[in-house]
Amino acid sequence: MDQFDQVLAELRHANQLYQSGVVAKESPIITSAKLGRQYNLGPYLTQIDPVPEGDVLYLGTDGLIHLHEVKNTAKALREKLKKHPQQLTRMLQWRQKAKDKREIRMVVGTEMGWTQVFAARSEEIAVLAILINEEVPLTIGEINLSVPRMDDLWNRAESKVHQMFAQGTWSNWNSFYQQMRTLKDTEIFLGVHLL
Amino acid sequence: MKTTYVPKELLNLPSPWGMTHGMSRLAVIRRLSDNPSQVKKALNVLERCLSALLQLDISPSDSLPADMMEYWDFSASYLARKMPALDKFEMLKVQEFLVQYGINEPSETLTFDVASYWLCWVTRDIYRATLSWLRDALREAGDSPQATRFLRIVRRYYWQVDESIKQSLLLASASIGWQKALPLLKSIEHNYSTCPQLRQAAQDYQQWILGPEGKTKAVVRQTPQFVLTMAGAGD
Repeated sequence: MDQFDQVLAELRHANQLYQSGVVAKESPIITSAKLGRQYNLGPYLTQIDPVPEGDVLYLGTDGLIHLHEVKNTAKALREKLKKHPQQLTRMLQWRQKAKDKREIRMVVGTEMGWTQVFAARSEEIAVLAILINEEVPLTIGEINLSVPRMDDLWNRAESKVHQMFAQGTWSNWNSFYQQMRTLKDTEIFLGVHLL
Repeated sequence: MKTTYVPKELLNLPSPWGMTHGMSRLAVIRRLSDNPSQVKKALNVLERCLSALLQLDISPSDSLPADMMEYWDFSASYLARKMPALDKFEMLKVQEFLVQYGINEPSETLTFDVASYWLCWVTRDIYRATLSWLRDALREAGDSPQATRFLRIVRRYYWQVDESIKQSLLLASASIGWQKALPLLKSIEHNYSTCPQLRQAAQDYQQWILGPEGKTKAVVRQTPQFVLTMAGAGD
């Protein structure tokens, strides 16, 4: 079922990109791009080396070649970054090779359970912190978050937690994240602009 | 009160590297120039962190509350606000935090365990930030004295650190050292006591550097279409 949901998330995302008009007219949207193969994106031939597999690849109307990693849930993205950190590392290397021509993005298919991007245990780093550090934008559902917006989200959440610690109004993490079940709820709870 | 000690290597770390609050540190690091003086400072900090990490243990003790561990970042950053540099480390501040977290009369053991965990966690965070910055500042620096020094540091500590740190050092070595990193990568690939994932990574990075034909790859550009391949050191 997980695999089905994953494939569905990728297709849904590709469709969303097409509908939103961000894909250049002459470019296809490649799903499951593979290392070592060349892809014709209109005026450009490109490869995704050293990334072993890219979920979505296309030329944008912004003139950049976009490579996306798509996961159906935030939890799945968290697991991916924890168990296969080299995927992001390779995507960063790919971007670095032609920084003014390439962009990468992480995509989470649904808002459900999205606050997993704040979770991190033991040697883990929270997904949101990783992406801010590496300047990789994130899409949750249909909402595209820029890195500055992600940074603001992180800082506001942190400030809220610290305020509650300092004021003695802290309860527990469950209660805290219950206030942020959707991005809309989060905007209200943290006073942050996301949508 | 039972106390945990800050390894001497972590005292007086130069700013911004020694800032315990990760996001604040990142904001300053992003504005840093990659001039030789900064690179030298960063290499120094990297080595001090690696030396300190050999003395610290990241494994969370059973006494640490599970929910605190699941969403650790904001607790860690709260402690960082109270102790903005490791020189300012105080057990009392950790105890105060635990009370604010809702643990009335935290035990000495719990305070000690949280303090130790935080100390190790911050050190690893500083290490990661420094390594990431160096990876960008010294990308494919190959023959430079700084790259040589970097590889020397890696060779000194690689076999002593844990798997997670090994992974990050491996990638950075390939990025920074390029061909100069090949002997190290080869030694890791052929060390059968190393975990298979790291040995595979070492092999992959050698291929990245050498290409499928075993030679250092060059960039190939064909007008009017760009063929974007991996750049070699000779680019």
